[in-house]
Amino acid sequence: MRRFLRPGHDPVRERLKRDLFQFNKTVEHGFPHQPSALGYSPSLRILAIGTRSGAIKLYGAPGVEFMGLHRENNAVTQIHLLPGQCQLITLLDDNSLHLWSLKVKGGASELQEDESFTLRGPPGAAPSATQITVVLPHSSCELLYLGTESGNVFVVQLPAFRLLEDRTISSDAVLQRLPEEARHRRVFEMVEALQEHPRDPNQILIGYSRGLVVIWDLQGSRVLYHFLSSQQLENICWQRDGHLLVSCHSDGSYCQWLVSSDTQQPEPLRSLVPYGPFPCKAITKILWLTSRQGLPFIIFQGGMPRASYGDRHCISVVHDGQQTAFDFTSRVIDFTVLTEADPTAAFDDPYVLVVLAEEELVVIDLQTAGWPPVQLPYLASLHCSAITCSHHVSNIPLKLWERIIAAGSRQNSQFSTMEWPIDGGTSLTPAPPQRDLLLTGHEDGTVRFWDASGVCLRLLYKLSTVHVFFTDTDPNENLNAQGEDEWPPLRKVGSFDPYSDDPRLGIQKIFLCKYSSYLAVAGTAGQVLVLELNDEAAEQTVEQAEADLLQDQEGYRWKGHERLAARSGPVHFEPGFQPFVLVQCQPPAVVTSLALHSEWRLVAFGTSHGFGLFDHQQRRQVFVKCTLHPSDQLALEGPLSRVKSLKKSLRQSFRRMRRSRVSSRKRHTAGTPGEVQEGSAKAERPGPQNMELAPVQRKIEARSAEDSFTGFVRTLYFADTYLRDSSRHCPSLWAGTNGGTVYAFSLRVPPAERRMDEPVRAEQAKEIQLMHRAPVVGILVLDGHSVPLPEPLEVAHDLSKSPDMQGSHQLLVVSEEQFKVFTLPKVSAKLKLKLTALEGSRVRRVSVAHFGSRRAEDYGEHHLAVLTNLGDIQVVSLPHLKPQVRYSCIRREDVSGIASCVFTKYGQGFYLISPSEFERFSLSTKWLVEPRCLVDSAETKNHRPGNGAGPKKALSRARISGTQSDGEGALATGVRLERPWSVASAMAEQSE
Amino acid sequence: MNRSHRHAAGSGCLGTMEVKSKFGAEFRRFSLERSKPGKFEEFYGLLQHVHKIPNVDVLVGYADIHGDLLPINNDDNYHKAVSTANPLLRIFIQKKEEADYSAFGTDTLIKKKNVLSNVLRPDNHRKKPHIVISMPQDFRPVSSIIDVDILPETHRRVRLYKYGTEKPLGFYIRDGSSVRVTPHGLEKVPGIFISRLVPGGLAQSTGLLAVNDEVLEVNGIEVSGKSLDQVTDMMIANSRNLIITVRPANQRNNVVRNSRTSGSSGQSTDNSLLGYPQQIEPSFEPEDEDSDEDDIVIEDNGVPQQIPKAVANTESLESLTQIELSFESGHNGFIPSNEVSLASIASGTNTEFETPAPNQKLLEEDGTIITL
Repeated sequence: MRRFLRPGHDPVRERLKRDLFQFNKTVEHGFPHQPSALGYSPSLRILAIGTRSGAIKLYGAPGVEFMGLHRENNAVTQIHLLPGQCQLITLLDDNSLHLWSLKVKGGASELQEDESFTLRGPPGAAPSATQITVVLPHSSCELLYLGTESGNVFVVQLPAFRLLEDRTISSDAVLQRLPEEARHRRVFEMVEALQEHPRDPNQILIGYSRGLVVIWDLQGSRVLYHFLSSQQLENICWQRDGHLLVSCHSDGSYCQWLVSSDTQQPEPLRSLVPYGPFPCKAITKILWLTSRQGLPFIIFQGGMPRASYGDRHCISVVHDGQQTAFDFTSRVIDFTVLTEADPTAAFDDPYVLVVLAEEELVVIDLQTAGWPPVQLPYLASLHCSAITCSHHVSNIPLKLWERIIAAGSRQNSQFSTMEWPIDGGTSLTPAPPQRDLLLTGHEDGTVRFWDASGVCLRLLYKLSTVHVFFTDTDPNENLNAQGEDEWPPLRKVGSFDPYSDDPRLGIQKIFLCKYSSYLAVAGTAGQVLVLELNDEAAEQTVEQAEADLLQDQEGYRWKGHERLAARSGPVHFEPGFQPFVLVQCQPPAVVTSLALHSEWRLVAFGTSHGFGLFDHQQRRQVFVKCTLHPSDQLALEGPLSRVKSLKKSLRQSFRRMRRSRVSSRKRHTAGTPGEVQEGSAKAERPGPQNMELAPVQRKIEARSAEDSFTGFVRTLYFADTYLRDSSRHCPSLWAGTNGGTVYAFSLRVPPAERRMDEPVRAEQAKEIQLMHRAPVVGILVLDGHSVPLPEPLEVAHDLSKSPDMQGSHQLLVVSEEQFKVFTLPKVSAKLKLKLTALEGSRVRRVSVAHFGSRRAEDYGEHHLAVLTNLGDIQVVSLPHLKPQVRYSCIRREDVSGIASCVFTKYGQGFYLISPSEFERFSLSTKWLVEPRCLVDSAETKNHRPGNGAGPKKALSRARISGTQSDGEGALATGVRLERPWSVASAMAEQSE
Repeated sequence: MNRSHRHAAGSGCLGTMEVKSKFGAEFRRFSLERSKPGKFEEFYGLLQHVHKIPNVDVLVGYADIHGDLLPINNDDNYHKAVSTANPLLRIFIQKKEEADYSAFGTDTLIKKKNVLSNVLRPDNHRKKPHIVISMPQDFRPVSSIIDVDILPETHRRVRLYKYGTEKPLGFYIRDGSSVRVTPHGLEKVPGIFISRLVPGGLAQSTGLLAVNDEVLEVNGIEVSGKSLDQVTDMMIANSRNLIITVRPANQRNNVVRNSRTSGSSGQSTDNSLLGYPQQIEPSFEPEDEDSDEDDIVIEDNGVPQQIPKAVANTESLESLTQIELSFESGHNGFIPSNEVSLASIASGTNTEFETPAPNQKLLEEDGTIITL
């Protein structure tokens, strides 16, 4: 009868499963891929970024994040936050306008789209007649002025987007109201600028591309002033008091115009080409900002000398005789300056420049001398060098955490001390219950340590392995060191640097022991480094060793890259993780697996040729094992496709990472990526027609021992278990290969008191060949209670129960196709779960995770979290290998997303949705990190910049005013009163 | 008359009867009491004795008066043979496993010589294949058509035993589209098709699969909705015991069982397909096990041996998965072939560990390597 009992039929288990598992994509970390628009609300202190895939993301204080996705997959070209409101308008490149709002639901704000609208002209009119170029939200928040390519300005009423046709300011009407001498200009020119008068809401400024600028009286429908420039207009800025206009032009010049009724000046007050006299590129945007000190800040984008610096992406800041051209490594999308938010204040007093570049956000402190950058608490450019691997460590001990932060803070001396100025909204997320680290390895040989505990992924510390090796780059090269009289005064800012000096430096595997602070990293050229955390800078020699993985394989010639040349003498290392052992595999193929056992002081590493074990205490090699199939011998001397293909696959993977994947975002509307890119306007074509275009075929053949890459070491695992007999357990090392072979070595590690005197010995004890020959992707030993063995030192630190060494141990081998449990020490097959044979999916990632129950505080189960090549995530129970739940998570075509996935020990995970963004997901009901925040429109965080730490004071004042009810409005008060309750309820929900 | 005369003369002669027995190329001559022939068992024992083949199972035949070769396997026909022998009883003995049943019969009268020569020269009758239901343990199945009774006649379920052969499976699959009849009319749906058969491969040699056959199921699991790569992986994972259900491109060789046939259209119109995989799934369970208990372990650098299946104790019985449990009961008709195959594969792998296989392929670029 038991055979008819399906897992789904046990109601008790089903209820328990609901308490343990639930799938959520919770938050996106990193920098939005392909940003296309920037918006900022001075009143909310919220930053908005739109992307080419139609996403909008809002950021305020750390932890305050919102994301919205337009139904259409069109680029967001403009974002305007309505002054003083929790509302924003987006313009897409299909000429549609969308109204979004932040609404409070259940104690937390949510971003939702309210209305959308497309401006349509009369039938038969040219599309350009209604093609919107500029959007001006009026300060009344009831009207939107829409400048178009035809030169007409349309007016729509919010929130319903009702077109007020009688209020349209047509270019003809403007022309008729111009004095005679100005009428000779061509009228059919597009509107380039629309500005509301800073003091008088009845006046707006309209700038046309051919150089005509008018100030229009909305009440009287007349031209109050007009200005004529000889150059094509790019943008215009109105001084805070409304008496001065500054226009910028396509020839790299900007002009100041005085607005005064007594002089209708045909000529500008002043005209200047900042980077002349040779031809310059256009200045596309300019801001003229007054300051208390008297001299204004002039901040403009572009305008560089065309011939010599035309390819730079620069924003120049001019103030009080200082001028700096901030030089970005990627295209500047837009910039904004944080100024005095109170519209009635006399001065702008700019304090922060926020620049959205294509690949990163750069924030510059304008109050501190030297204009240093401000460190970002979020929106970090994960991909400043391409990510090549990642590693997650849960529950970091406080001591290690503090030491890493201390090491990191010393690296951040160039940053401003200013507190994060974009601090709108309130995060309701409770403090993270534990400290989690996400380590990313990069193509340039660096490892970045991220605080992954909460909603904000924040860079803690950056480790570079480059100093261990000789490289082509000159270490003295300092991009910031420019000569005094250099012109233009360029200054490199930002961290995005896609150019790797040497691809061999790339980090491929990372293993951190959180208890001993030992770190092992391994790279593309077969280099394995063991590092130790040191709070002091040190000058030390890195012990070097070579691991010849081919051993007695004769006549083999490696035709790939050479191994890295290591520095022989002492090297100076900054405080932080400092390498002390370097093992270089020979041949220097990419390291494919790595394991560190900090208690035994051993590091194991594997490549496509074999694996080795190194004793980093005594600094000597214990053994190496060649896993190449004997028959590969002939092949190795042949055309050597191994080398080529490894390089190629590496290159492809990088390419994949960098490739723009516009449609990578989760979308509610179904549709294949191809269709999405073609645009939603086209009718969906039926699937079969598309499929016929690709006449691909696949060979059906059983795997054999002779298939290529069988020796590729996929996984390494240390375990203290019963390898030889059931009476004695001993340390062991397990290795799994691409050809379905598992090797087990018994190790003899000398006791601590003789650890330096006696050598570590290893002996091969077992070799298991899985007959289905699928690659082995995971090995795990379960103790007598069928619980996975604890991590090294976990028991010593009282963080785990001692494993049960009485009952018999079991070995779990996970191949890409099957899960199999064997008994130990006598290997006999006990259980299995076939995945591929039944579902056609293959295991890509597998990891043990602890799932806590949301009901019972101390109840939890260990299971396997599994990601398949189809992008599905499954939970498979331990030790019974019963599939528990299955969720589709990543698109199956998203190969780099699937390859980048990393699971945490508590049922969460991360994968790259673009080269620069991690999606965080959770399989657990208990461990869930997602933004939950409140944004309140009536709360005014009034900020008056002073000298020094002005924003800090302002911030604290704002927080005080936020918590004290000053009766500024019924809604606002209500929300404020609600807040303590909602925090409490949020926490209650979390701990439920 | 003449015959009866001779018969009478012979019988009258001594009361004994001469027997000439032939086994292979050897003759034995002896005599029997015609009046007391005894039982067949005794005679059978006597033949084994005189030919010195005491433990060999044999078939005994005799030439009757018409020259027909007739069997002797019980007392009745033995007595008949003795009574009709005139004067000589000619006995032909064949080993049971080499027996050529076609040599027996009544219409061998005219081809008397041929009959005898057939018996005398055993290799001769290989030319004439004859279906004999016998001794399955001596053969290894390489393919079969199964579940004919439950499938519509437009479909064919083929089982390929990769196991018993060194031949490669040898086929390719591709994406394509097929036309189905639905309540909304004809509908084009994506499908998986066989695109190529490798000459000399198992798939081709069976003759049961052909290019453009549409693949409907793999080991009982429907492929509709699955991608080409997914189906590829399923087939490779099941490659040791692959059962694929196809809709043959050529529908002319179908067995027509009743009038319900859906016609001659190659793109057949069966929607009931969706219904029955669930019903027939159990029929796959017995075989599902066989490819899996053959993992090899080498202990302490010793001799490779097959990994045994752990005996389920009370604790682990509870732990068995549903899939696992369904295997337990499974072994019915296929035990013999499984055992033989297991043994052969195990010994085959032994050699793999000791000596490199002779012809190795060059390393190929393989797209499955994940370096991240």
